[in-house]
Amino acid sequence: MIYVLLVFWVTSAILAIQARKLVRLIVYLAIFSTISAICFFVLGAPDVAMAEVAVSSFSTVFMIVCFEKYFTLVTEVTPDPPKEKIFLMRFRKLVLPIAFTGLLAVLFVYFIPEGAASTYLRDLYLSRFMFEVGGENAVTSIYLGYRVYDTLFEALMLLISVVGVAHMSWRNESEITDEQFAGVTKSDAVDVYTIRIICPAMLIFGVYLILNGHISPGGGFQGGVAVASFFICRYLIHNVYDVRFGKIMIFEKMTFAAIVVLAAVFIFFGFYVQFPQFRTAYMILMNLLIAMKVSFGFIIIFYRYIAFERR
Amino acid sequence: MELIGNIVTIIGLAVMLTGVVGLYKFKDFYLRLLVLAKIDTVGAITFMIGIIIRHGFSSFSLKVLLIMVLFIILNPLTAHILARAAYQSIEGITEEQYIEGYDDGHGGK
Repeated sequence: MIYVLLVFWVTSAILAIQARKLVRLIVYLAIFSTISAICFFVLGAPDVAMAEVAVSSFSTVFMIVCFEKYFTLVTEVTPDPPKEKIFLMRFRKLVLPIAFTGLLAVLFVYFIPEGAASTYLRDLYLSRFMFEVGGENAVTSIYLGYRVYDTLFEALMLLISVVGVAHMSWRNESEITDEQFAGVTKSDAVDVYTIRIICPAMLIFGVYLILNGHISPGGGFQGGVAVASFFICRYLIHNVYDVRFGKIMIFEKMTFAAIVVLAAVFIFFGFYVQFPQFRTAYMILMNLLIAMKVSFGFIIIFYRYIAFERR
Repeated sequence: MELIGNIVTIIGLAVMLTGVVGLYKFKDFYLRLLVLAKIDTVGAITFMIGIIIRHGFSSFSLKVLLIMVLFIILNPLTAHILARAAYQSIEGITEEQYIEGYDDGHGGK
């Protein structure tokens, strides 16, 4: 059964690449992601399938709306077609999608595997993570031990999105000067006094999340966001722009390189097996680096939007 | 004790429900913001007080109390920032919503 699905999958991918019109491309992409969601489900990963369905449906609607807005700007409105053609168009607009959805639903029901999805991997991780990876938080031992590839690529994804925000904005400057910053509205007295009460607690909470990530819930990503929110609060209090933009971006890339090197040395060269006494240190260091990277990225995005992306 | 806690929790939920109805009923931004602040502060705080009464004096209710303090500090702040930003954005205000002497964010008072 899975092979039939995979053939459909590859076919829709090829069709999406070969499509000449943008609408067809969008529709083929939607088909592609639907089939991949079914594949995930059949292979025993219903959570990934749900995420895929949510993301793909949202992005399809978003792309179609963008497409329509863009092309109503460019082309003129076509005159009303004759009556028979209206019927045909309604047929194509209404009946075909319903038929297609019904077909997919039938496929989905037909391909549901017997019984519940397998819990083999979950049981394996939960029974062995203490000995193999260390740390008392199973989530941390998964994303820093078993699935360290995923973590690397997730960090890379954030880096790419930060670079995209920095380089594809409306204005093309790389540094923010004081005169660009002059038009930004200042904070109120209410904001300043309340945030002053709150922001030390934010910093303490972020550091706690980072340093206790291997024991309690938390970790580098969440703690990094909390620390970045502390810096955003700092901006909201003082209303000054004293951030060196290029330096922070270089720091972010350097921390990403450090993450890659550390993970490579520890996991792929087998230091993990040889020196079990360094495992906790590895986890704390890795969480710290990830948190630094994430907070640098969010600070860049925040200041970028404050200074450039406004009317 | 548990009964009283349940009653207070249900009162909080009822406040939240009226707030949600109000969100759909009002069309004006400021009225919606008023209702939103009511959900966030009155509803949520009543809800948490109910939970504290239910669980009695323990470390769990201490954590809930901490969250409640954060709510009391932060929710009026968010409502204030939202209202101020809407007031300062150009298309945000009508003639009768204009406040004499308040900073409109464009240099005028």
